[in-house]
Amino acid sequence: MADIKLSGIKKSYGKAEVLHGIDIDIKDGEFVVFVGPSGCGKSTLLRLIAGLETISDGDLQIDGETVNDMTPSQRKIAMVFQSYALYPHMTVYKNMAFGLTLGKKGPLGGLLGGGENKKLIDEKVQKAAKSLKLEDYLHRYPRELSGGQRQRVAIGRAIVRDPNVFLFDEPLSNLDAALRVNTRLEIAKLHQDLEATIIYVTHDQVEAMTLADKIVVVNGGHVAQCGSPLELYHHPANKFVAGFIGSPSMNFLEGTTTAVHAGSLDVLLDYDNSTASIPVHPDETQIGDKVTIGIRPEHMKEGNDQSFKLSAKVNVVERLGEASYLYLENGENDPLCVKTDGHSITKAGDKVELCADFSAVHVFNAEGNALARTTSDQKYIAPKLSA
Amino acid sequence: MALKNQRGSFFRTHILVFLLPAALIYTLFMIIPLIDTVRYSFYDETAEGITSFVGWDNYILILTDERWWTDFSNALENNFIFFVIHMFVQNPIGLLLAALLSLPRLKMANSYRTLIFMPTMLSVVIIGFIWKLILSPLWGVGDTLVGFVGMTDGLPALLGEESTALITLSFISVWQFVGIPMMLIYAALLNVPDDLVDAAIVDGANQWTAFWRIKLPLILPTIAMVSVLTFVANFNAFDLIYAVKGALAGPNFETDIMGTMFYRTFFGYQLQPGSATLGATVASLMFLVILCGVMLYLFVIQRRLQRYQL
Amino acid sequence: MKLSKRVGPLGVHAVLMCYTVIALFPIYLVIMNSFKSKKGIFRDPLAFPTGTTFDLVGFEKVIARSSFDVYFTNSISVTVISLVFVLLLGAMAAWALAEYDFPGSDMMALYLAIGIMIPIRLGSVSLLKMIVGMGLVNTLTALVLVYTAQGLPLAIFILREFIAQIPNDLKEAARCDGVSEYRIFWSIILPLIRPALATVAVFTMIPIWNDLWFPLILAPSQETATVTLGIQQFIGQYVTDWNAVLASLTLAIVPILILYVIFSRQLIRGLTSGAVK
Repeated sequence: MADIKLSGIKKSYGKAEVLHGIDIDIKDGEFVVFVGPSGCGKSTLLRLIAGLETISDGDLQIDGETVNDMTPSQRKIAMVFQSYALYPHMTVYKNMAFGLTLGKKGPLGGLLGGGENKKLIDEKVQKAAKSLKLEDYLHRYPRELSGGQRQRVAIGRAIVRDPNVFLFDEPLSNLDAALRVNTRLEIAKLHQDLEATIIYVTHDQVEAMTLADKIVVVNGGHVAQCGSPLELYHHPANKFVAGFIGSPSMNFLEGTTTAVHAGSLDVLLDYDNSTASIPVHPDETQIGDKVTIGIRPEHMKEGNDQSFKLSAKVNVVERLGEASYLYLENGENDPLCVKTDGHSITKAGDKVELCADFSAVHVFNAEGNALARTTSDQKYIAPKLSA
Repeated sequence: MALKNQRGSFFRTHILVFLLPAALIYTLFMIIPLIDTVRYSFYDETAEGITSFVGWDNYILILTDERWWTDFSNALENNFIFFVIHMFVQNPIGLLLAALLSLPRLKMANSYRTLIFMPTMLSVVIIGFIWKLILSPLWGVGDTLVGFVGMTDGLPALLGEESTALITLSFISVWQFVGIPMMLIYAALLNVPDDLVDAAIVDGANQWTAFWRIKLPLILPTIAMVSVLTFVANFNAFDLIYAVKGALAGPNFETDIMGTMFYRTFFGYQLQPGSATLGATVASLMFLVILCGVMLYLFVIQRRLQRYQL
Repeated sequence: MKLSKRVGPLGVHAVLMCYTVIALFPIYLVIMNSFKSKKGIFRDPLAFPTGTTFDLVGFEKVIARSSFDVYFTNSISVTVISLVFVLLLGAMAAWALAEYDFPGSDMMALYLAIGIMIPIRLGSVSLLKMIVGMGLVNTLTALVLVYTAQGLPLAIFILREFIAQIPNDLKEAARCDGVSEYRIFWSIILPLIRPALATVAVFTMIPIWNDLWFPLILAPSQETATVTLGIQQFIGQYVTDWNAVLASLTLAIVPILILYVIFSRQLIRGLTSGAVK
């Protein structure tokens, strides 16, 4: 059992504060992914939880016990490093057994000692090796293994210690694309088998979406949003999360508020000087305020049979077969992107009519925070998965 | 084909221009003198400069004549003690300092490193004189200093006594050169990825066990290299003994090492005239000792130590 | 846990601080006492020079009785000229060995590496004869030639490893533009290996500046003495004059210490850069 609770966690190096008060609750057995651009502080956060860095301020609890001053092994965590960090002078077997041979300082405490301990270690190592299909490589050195095998050894080293929490630091970034998908599935399966709490750090939002029970988007040392993958996809709390989750990224259109109603907002778009009335709670938005409108490429289509309409010139068409991406003229800004039918005959240079349902349109105020939508269209709302 | 040849010779001129000057100076002033010295050890030379081939006579003289052998074995033995003290005092201290300096997030590590390395930069001659002054019974600094740690009898004449002179000189040299193993080992330790130590810490190790079980095995090749460098430098040492004790390496040859014996044999001292051929013989014997050490390193130690890709 | 966390770094600092004091105290003691009168030196060696004990008599004697300026000029010329030769010729040879694949190139590299492990001193007998034969005894040229030969093996070894890491594309691009091999070396390679040259410079310079052996046997005259030899002779002569001895040591130490403090960052970066493994 391992619930983890971070309250007001801060970290500074000298005067530079890199984490500005992080609050996260992680339930036992949950697969949590920290995701964010490089340098956002997600790896530092992981190292704080691991006990490899000291926490400057705040409280870290595992199972209700404050562990700020505990060593990693006292916290009963295990970690898989980006570089795998396999000990090059030890065989696979010894790499996996290393933590168990550390005697009283090891996780088994006084249990180890005498002949029995070797047998116990052997049992654990063999079991882990079997589950990871590493039995044939136990007496090889890390340099004799492929990238995927090394990855599995690193995971095996974590498993034998039977930790309460597994920490993964960008474990897939050194693998090639094909292996990455395989290993991703293996990790997902591992989580089901072990039923352990896993905290996983990545900069890749696809990994985050596919693996996580809960995603924590970190940006600039703050938690930008925390929630299930579909919550983040359908209800991004701010412009950063909206742009970060989803591929290709959400399109953003700048606009100015022209009228404020109880359940909607009239926005004059800079793009084509059209006005749209979008069903969101205006909060404190006033007439004349700048707002940003966000629509995902996959929620737009060619035609004019939906409530939100746009006309544009196509600059580039990418044909992927199952779908085609239209990239639209957008002045100096990043081109807008629309995911359309693979059979679309639209070519570069064409003028097209585009539309989307209002319920798929997000509005962000000048501070970048999302305004809550008032639509009840189920299609664009995260489904409730039974727990 | 003709074109290819032309291109080939074109390239060869370049190689020659780039390579020749260095190869020439190196061969002329290093390789030839070394070989010629060995050749010379098989000759005898009269005062008039007439040389004649004498085979192994010079070696037989030095290794069997009672007076020569006493001198030579004494120098060899002293040199060995000199080396052992460096090997087992200087290198472990260097390792310790390097290990401490490479601890993660150690404050002021740069300043320590710079300051501890300072004596290494100075000439051995200067270091020798500095310590000669400090240890001199005339000055009394040594007495004052040992007084602080409770030795009220004052400091014995460490450099003057037969029993302590060589050991004292060895420690002076250790004091000066500890910076070299420290730096080389420190550089090797920096090359050990932080992730490995972090992984060990997560596995339940502390900094101490992580050092012994992870870092140390990975830098063994560097430690072997430091050892052979120490060996070569020690069996080639001369400056310190000469500066502090002169060519006679007193008291009573107690501090005589191969380098000083070579110098005396070559240039003569007191009543014994210098001899270039006997000097060459001593140099060749030193060559042999150093070669044995280097070969042991190259063909036995280095081959057994696996270099790990870090 | 909390306790050991705090004691740990403290203990580490205590050990390092302690060793730093051991390393610096003797040097400090000599420099400080060189500014004292004879009475001051003997009455309280550990005290800082005060109004009554401050005295520059030692330095006056050294300057009057020896030619320290000549020693310094000699040491600087020998070191700088040898250094230029080692760096230039070493880089050229390293480039040839790293870049061109010619029959015997590996043997050549091995041949040039022998000198890293075998000290040139062992060839002194023959070297002296040779220098005598060339009429170069008591000249700085003799020292420059020997020191160049001594410095080349390590220089070539380090620079060759470094040059081998330069991406091929750079050279190929230049060759496609019709640049000559000499130009490639001079305008592309030399600028790129500057960090390695700095490392080699340090390794080459220190032993040359500090050497006693070759000045002693090849150029022992007053006119060609280097600082190391000069000081050795001066102290031998005035061994009982403590003021003069301390002052001469200070004169030899201080310039090196100043240079060291200025360049220590580069020097240590060079030592730890991994160029030497």
